[in-house]
Amino acid sequence: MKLKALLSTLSELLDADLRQQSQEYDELKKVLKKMKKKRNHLLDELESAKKDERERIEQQLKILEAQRKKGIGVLKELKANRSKIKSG
Amino acid sequence: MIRRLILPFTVLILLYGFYLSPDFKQISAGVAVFLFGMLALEDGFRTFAGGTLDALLRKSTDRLWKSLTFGIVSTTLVQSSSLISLLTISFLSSGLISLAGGIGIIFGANLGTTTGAWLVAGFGLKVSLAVWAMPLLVVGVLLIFQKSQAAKGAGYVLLGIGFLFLGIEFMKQGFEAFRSSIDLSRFSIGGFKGLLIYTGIGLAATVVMQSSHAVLVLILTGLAAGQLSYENALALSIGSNVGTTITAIIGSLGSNQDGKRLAAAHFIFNITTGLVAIIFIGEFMKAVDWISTLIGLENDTTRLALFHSLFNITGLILMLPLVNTLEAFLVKRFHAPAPGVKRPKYLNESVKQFADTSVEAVRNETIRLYETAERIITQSLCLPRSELYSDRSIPEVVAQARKVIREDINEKYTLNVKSLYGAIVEFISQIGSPRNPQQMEALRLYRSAGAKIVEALKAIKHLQKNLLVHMVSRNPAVRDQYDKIRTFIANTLRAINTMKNATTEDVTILTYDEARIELARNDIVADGTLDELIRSHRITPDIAVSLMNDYVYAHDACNDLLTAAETLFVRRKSDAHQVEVGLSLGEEEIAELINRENLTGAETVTHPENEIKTP
Repeated sequence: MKLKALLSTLSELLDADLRQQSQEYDELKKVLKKMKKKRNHLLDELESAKKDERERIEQQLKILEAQRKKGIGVLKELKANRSKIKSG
Repeated sequence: MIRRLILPFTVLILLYGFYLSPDFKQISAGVAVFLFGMLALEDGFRTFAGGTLDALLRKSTDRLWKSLTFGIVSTTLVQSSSLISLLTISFLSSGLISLAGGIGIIFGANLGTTTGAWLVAGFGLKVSLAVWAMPLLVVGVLLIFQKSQAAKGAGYVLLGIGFLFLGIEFMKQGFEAFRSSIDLSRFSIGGFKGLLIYTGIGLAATVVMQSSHAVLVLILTGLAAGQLSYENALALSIGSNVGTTITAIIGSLGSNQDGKRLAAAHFIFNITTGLVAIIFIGEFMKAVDWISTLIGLENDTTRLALFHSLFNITGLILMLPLVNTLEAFLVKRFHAPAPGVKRPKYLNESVKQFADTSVEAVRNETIRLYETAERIITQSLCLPRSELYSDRSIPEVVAQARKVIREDINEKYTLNVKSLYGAIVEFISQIGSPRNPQQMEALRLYRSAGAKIVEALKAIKHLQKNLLVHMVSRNPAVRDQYDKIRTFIANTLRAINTMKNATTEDVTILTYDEARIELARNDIVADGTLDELIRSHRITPDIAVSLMNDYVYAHDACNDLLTAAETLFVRRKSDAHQVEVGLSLGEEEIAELINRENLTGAETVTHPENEIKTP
């Protein structure tokens, strides 16, 4: 089992495509985390916002949600691709 | 005429020298191989002068001690103060580092270069370096043939070190053989006269060879072979230390004022150090003798290395407290011409030397192009910039800005924007092919961003004609519509300003997509406003046509500016930013978001419990 894990890490290091995808995956995770933080911040702001402010924040939340949804889709795709390359 | 004759004359003298003495031939070949090694080493390190060095430089130059350490360490590793000087000038010219940071690096590089003398004196002259050179050359060549840029770079570095070793070995053997036929030490001159003459020779030799390192190795091997007297060798090393500034001075000729200031700082440092060493040569020699006895240095070569380090450390101690005064003096002495918008500020010959600095310079110049265009746009739309970028609501700012300012966009475009964009396009075409596809892609994007900025300005020019008339129209419906146009352009400019000033923690694409959605919502044809205005006879059909055209111009301008802003402010160098850009909503997604809103009205916001789980 250990050897398998070692080989998988080694192939990841040597395969440029896999390495790039792995890097992209990590970066995407970071971006999504940042977005989640921003979303929580906006939700906090929403609670104490006045009416005109509320509209703006709600609008931002909708955009953020759409962007996160897109990001999560890409993340899943990257994960699937990675395991496909690793296995095959 | 004389310049043309110099090269053939030098070649003839060398050939005659080779004919007379095979040992001279071997020493010259040693110098040539050594210099070739330096070139290969520089080439290798240039490959790594990409993202890593760039990021390291930014972090290492915010404090004087950091830039000093960076200068010492990098020169020790690279073994070429010339490369570090040129790199620093290049980075300073492209706006990546400050002048004080650059001065710190140059001062540190002067100390770092003294490690070369220690390595050669302590190691190179004691063992046969040719034994080490061979495997380095073989592995180096093998790596050069690899596809990966990193492997190629490492190959050149190994090849460079191999050639350096081989060059030292040739010089060593040449001098040893030379000793049996001619005794050069007969020409040694003692006293102050000898000091000055040999300092001059050291200076001239470094200017010719363009490498103080090569001259120093030549001095050390000559000294080890007994062909040079110890006193004359010290004088030669002082001369070579001053002569090395010529590389930085030549490098700064094509750079901007900052590059020239840095080369001047280098010159001032080395000339001061040289003068101090000449004036206090007796004291330095006594100090060297004392320290040598203390730490057990026996031969003249290591004592020379100690002398070299000692006078550079003295120079550093003398000059470090004066860094701020020196910086102020240089800023005053080398006046930067008032950055007339017509002339590029960041694009110059020195930044062309490294692919990374040239890309960064193009980015900075394109940002300057945007800033220039943005000023013209705000003036053309009669919007006060101080209010536009304040906390006040945009409709309020627009409603109050009624004073008509007749700005000649054509003249400003020709004088400022067109010339600047022309300079950017010319610069990109002159860079040649950068080292990697990412840099090529970045240059393509910056050129395209520049084109978008120019197109936006042209669209505003068309819009301005009607806008200046109708923004003060007596018909409130017309005035309102032109205020709406000004409002969404102002919204776009404010959003871009937010993106421009964003930190890494901000979600820049949120601002970007918000601006795009706001823009897509302002469509008077699609939302039926125009039909309604015509039906109710609030505007004439002629005005309706103008309004339709002007909405198109305004939309085009905003879209172009946002596209340029995405390149300049969202799509930065880091991988995280590249990934973030990919999450920006497409045209269809924006349309879907607007449609959903129109159908359902105010939607409820997703609550944390219903949210999509972030893996």
